[in-house]
Amino acid sequence: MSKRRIFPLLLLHFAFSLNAGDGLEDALGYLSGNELVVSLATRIVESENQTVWHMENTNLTVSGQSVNLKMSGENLVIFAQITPYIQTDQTLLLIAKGEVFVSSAEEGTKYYSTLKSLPVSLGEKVLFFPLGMAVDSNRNLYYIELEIQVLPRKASEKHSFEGEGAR
Amino acid sequence: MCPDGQILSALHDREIPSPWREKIQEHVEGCEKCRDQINSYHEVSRRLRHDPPGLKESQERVWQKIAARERLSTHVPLWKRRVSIPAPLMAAAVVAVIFGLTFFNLLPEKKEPSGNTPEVWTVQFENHNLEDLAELLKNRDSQVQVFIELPRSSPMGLQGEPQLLRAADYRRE
Repeated sequence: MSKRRIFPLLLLHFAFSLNAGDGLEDALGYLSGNELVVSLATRIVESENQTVWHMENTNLTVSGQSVNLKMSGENLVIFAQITPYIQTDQTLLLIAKGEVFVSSAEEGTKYYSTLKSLPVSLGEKVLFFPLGMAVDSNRNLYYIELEIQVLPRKASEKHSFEGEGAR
Repeated sequence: MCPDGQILSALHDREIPSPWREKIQEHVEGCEKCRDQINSYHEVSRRLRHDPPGLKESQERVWQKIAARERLSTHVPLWKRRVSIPAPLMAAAVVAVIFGLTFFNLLPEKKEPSGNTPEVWTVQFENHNLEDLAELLKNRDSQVQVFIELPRSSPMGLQGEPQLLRAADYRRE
């Protein structure tokens, strides 16, 4: 193999080693500085804006790694993929991908997909409506609201500690 | 140095991406303390999945409360409301409706605007069972971290285009 071919390979190997690190400490070091806590509050809201059901959970991720949700109902399945990207100015680009399979006796099974993005500040609350939000009182349908908040893990711990202290 | 509980919990929940996952996994395999903690998470998950204490009862209770709330709701659809109208006015209204329908039927047919609905792809299946569809998508499930079972009694469907917006910009009507 010629030197010309070896050099880029060596460079690639070096770059990968730098990125991946060699041991647990490197991995933990990287994660402790880059972990993001994605807090999700899922709500089912009826047409008169009353929340009839809600569920909260938090997930740990890193920039560019999605948090994937699956919501199964009687006549539909929703896949939601929330991906936070930390920008160089420490703001956040939030990308939400929604896929909905809806089944009805009249129309069979239909598939809808959507991809939305929104630049936000860290900690700013964002709402995702995977089924839309145009309330039609004649149809009397409920809609799904996903409240998303992304914080660095350390800030999130401080945030929850302060929240507990305030109670 | 051992990873803290939250990292181990994230490892158990498959939230840590490669290559860090493999490195932490390697440590866990060689560390009794971390292995015990991961095993305890496995045990909690297993119990919640197969033998959740009182889950069925509490689920039933919640569904019943939602159903009771729906029954108690004072919202009466327009078509069920009782209205008293004087007979001459009623007769005039019927005549007006008949006249209106006849008039609109004579007009040339107009195409409805497409509206703000998302693009639709129809997917054909041999039967319309969503469980079969879920089976087809099983490989997708391996990437899913959060599974939510929505209340069965809630009528849901697409209501316009999906939206992503800042909570501060959203006003409930």
